[in-house]
Order: sequence, then structure tokens, then C-alpha cells
Amino acid sequence: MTTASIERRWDGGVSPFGVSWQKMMMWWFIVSDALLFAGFLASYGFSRLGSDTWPDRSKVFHLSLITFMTFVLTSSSVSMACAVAAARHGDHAKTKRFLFLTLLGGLLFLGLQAYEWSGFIAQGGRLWENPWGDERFGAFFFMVTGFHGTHVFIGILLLLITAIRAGMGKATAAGVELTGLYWHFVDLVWVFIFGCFYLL
Amino acid sequence: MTDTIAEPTAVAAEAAPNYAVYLKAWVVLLCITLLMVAYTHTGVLIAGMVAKATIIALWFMHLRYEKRDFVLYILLPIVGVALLLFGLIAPDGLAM
Repeated sequence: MTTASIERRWDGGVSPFGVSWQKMMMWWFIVSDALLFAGFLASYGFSRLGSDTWPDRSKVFHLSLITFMTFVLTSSSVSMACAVAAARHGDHAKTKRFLFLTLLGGLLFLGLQAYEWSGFIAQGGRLWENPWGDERFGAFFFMVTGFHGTHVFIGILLLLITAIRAGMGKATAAGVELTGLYWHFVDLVWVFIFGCFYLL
Repeated sequence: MTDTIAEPTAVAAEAAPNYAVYLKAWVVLLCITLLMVAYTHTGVLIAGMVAKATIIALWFMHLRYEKRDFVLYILLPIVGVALLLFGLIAPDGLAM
């Protein structure tokens, strides 16, 4: 590549990555947020590997409930992908319908998580102590699933706004795609929480 | 500045939305999930998590359709730091 063509490529006005600034910002947020959760799960791994009294997850969690929660979140992610596809096609009615389905999935997931938390607390699980073993277990449980649940809650607000805008015919394909990126990321994080926290 | 500003978003209307590909991804994701629940062997779990994350990132988050430079720009920091954290720092717990 000659110097002149390099200059032309970088001389402002050209988008070397071929994405809008909105999408770039969302991806930067996703990168930083992914590193936050990577830090959580790595510190969880560190503490668990260094502990002799780490609780047996099968004695604490109801795996069928968690698997169902995973199913709900995965399904909502699929309907979100369909909403993005419908928005690209300019189909506002379908976009709204798929966003509504996604929203329902998010609400169901959050409700099930509230149910799981109340069960955990009723059994004596606390931030600083728990009846099953290492006291750090409760702290990690509440911190990791709590941060994820907060992300789901924010995602629900975003979905609500996007669905209302789609209902008014004001949602743009790019806007729905941004909400989609966030929602898929929330699902992506759950893949690792489910694997590392509940199954491993 | 004779360059025209490149249209940065790839939101050009598609001929018809391809929902089938997402349904296929759904089935594959659920199968992997069931496999992980059935065989909680560490190797299976790590492979399952990586496979699910790859499907979500490439198909749902559309990284398949972005420029290669952008994909590297996004993924290298995440994968690099995650490998550092999980490969080098978390195992230090064993020495505690």
C-alpha cells in the first residue's frame, strides 16, 4: 500500500472498521463489561481452587430450575435475533412481536432468579456466611448472579423502550441491533456463569 | 477530503429475513446445554461454553458479518485478558 493511499484511508471521514460510532460504543461497553465478568469468574475460580471446604453445588442448587432459566434466556436471545432481522427488513409489526417475546423471556428469567435467591436465603445463604461451607461461596453467589441479574433488568428497560419505539414505528434497524447486541451479551455472560458456577 | 464518507452501518434492507438460521442456532444451543448438564466433565463444560459463546457472538451478535479487523479488535482484548485471568491467575488458588 502506498503512503498516499494509507493517508487517504486514515485521513478522517473513512470508517476503517466499517461500523457506526453507536455500534462501536456498544462494543467498547461490551468489551469492558466482559472483562468485568471475566474478573468475577476468575476470582471465583481462584477462591474455589484455594478452598478445602467449597460447597458441593448439587447440594445447594436445583439444577433443573437453573437449566430452565438458561433455556428461557437462550430462547429470548433467539427471539431478539429474529427482532433484529425483522427490523432490518423494515417489518415493524414483527419487530414489535419478537421484542415483546424477548421481553417476556427476560421478565420470566428475572422472576425465576428472584425465586432462586429467596430459596437460597431461606436455606441460610448469606453474603458473609452459609450453611454449606466456605463463607466466600455466598459472596460470590450474590455478587456474580446479582450483577448478571442487574444486567438483565437494564436489558428489560432497553427492550421496553425499543418495543415502544417499534410500536410507534420509530425504531430504526440500527437501534434495534444495538439493543440486540446488549441482550445477546447478557445471554453470553450467562453461558459462562451457568458453566462455571452451576455445572463445574 | 475528497473521500465520500463511507456508510458505516450495515443495515441495508435484506431481501427477506432469514429466521431459519436462528432456529437452527437455537436447537444447537439447547443441545449443547443439555449435553453440558448431562456430562459435567470439565472438558465437556469448557468445550460447551466456548461453542455456545462462539455461536452467540458470530451469529446473534453478527460478528460473522463485520470486517475481520473489527472482529480481531473486539475479540483479542477479551480473549487475551480472559486467558490471562483463567490460565495464569485463577490456578494460583491451588497454591493457597
